[in-house]
Amino acid sequence: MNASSYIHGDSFYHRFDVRPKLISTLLFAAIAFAMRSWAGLAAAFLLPLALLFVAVGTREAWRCLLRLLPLFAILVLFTPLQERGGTPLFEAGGFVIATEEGIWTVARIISRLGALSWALMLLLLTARNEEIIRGLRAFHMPYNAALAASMVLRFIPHLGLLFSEIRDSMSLRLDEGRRGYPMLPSITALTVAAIRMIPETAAALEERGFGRMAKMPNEPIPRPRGYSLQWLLGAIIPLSLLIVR
Amino acid sequence: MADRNRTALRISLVAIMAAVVAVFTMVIRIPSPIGGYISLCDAAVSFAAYAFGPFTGLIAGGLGAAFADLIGGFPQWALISFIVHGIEALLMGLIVRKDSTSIPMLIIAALIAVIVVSGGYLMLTTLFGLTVFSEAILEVPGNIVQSAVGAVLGLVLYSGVRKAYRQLDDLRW
Repeated sequence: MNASSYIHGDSFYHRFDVRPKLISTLLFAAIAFAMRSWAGLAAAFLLPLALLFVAVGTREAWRCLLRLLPLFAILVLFTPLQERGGTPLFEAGGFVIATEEGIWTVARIISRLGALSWALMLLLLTARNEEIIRGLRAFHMPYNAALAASMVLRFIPHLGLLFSEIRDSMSLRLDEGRRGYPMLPSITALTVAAIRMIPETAAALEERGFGRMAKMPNEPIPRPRGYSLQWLLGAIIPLSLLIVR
Repeated sequence: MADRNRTALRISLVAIMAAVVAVFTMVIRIPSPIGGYISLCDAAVSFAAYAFGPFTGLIAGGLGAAFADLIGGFPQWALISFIVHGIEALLMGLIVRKDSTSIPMLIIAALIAVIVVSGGYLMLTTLFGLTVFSEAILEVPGNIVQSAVGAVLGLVLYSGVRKAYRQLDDLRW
């Protein structure tokens, strides 16, 4: 089990510092909810998607797109039929299939959902987890919260691997010819193993000096070359959507 | 020093339980019609609430479910999962806080979990404009099954783990 979605790459967005990336993600997500025109909806959907294609390549971006396509298909097929109040656009034998308002509703939802997904995937696929946490620390995320978040990310793959081992050994206990694994004993064993780690982990934190300082200093993140330009682009790219709002 | 030790223990407890919730969520996934999925998430969330009380449940349940969404390719649901599963664990923990063996209380806690999860996703996905009510309602049966099974499974898990690890109650705060 992998706790990171990061895809190694050398695109311009990969080279961006995580702080402008975080702001850019936030702006994309917020602006997607502020669109009032058809052009705005299309732009809010397409701009982060285009960035995703540029940043992580066609294959990965297509995988992200494919994940949402069934949902978009359901929305396109059923929403206009259920939202039939307003100006009719398509009719068949006196039955209103779609209205302007119904089409607008479905377009708005797809635009928001898409923009939110692409913006978040753009961040998660181009920045490592530890970079994101350091970035959040730079924006004054409390030390204990950052520590807990980074510990969660470290424990997920560890517990995932442990679960595979438990599941494999449990499957050997099944009668010959039976496939699968006993789920309840497997998840119980995993939970017991995880809980046993808690006092050990707390002791390890203590040994590393946790709690000795009244307030943990904020570790400075070095500024890469073109840092100011990255901030500028990180803000201008999503804000440019407001032109077609 | 005791307080400091307690903080280290609390952080470890929350982080490990959040990781358990995320692993449970990612281990079994059945895709649902509106792009979400049904998982074992609620079993881990309920376990956290029964075993460690409302506040550990709130943070570990919310954080674990949100991380599973972020890592698992469903980032658009992460905030909603954080709120829904956090509140689910908080309420369940508060209900069974005094007596985690009282059958009526456990039934009420399970009912609350079902209401919070099915109602929470229905309300928040519609409120955030990520779907329309008529599509969000398609998720409700799946969420009812997931949360009801999860609440029962969480209880079975709690009694099993309690037998295997006697010091479980010492970790509660």
